Amino acid sequence: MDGVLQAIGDASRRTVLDALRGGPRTVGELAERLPIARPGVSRHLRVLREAGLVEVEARAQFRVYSIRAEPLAELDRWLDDYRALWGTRLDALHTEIARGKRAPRSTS
Amino acid sequence: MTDRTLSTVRPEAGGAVVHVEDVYDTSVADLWSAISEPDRLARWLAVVSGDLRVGGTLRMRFTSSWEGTGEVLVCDAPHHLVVASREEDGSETVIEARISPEGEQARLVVEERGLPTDASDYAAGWQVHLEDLGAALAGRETSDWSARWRQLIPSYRREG
Repeated sequence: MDGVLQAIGDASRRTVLDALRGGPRTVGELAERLPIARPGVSRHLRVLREAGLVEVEARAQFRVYSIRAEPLAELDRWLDDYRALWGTRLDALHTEIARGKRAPRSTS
Repeated sequence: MTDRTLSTVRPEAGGAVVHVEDVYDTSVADLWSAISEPDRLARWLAVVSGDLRVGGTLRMRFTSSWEGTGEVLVCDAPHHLVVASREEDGSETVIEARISPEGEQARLVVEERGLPTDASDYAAGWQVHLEDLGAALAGRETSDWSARWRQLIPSYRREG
């Protein structure tokens, strides 16, 4: 998971990944859509590919990139434990609000 | 666009060679400049940067979306250019271009060797490149490479 976190720990790479959510794209199409020069897009795609977040489909001279969701699912499973933590805190907030409603503060 | 096919595929040991050729309404010298000068190459085939001498390493980004490195093996102006191309995954091919006079015009023959046996899609791709060269020489706009390629693929698959 280190590689995945490292890969998405860069704003430009997240932008590239976001752009691929809409479907497979070539490097040229990504460069057209994003405020990143084409060599930069290529470089970011290489890092994303090494982290397993992106895969390239080769057909003759044509190269098209798409998202691989598996590493993100792994990240999501890891976050699950932390989501429980958030859940507990939000429950506590609900309890506090409910308590506040039952015993309104007296206004002077 | 015409439906004539410009490319052919022939087998070689362990793979295939794509052969593509066309005659252009220009001089040998002008055609040579179109296939060897980065500014002109960028208009129809590839953005090429790096050391453009024999033995030098090039960085190449084709209009097809193929990217990789290249090495100039032969540069015999204005007739013969050979470039080895290598993709990140290690696959290598050799692209050879020959130019000859054809009356007042000039003929370009391109061959790419080291391709996989089923190279019909590559053949369609090279036709798009040579059509784009024609457009660039005539001052017309080049194609949307992948759209034109998809359009040509069926006729090459029928031939194969």
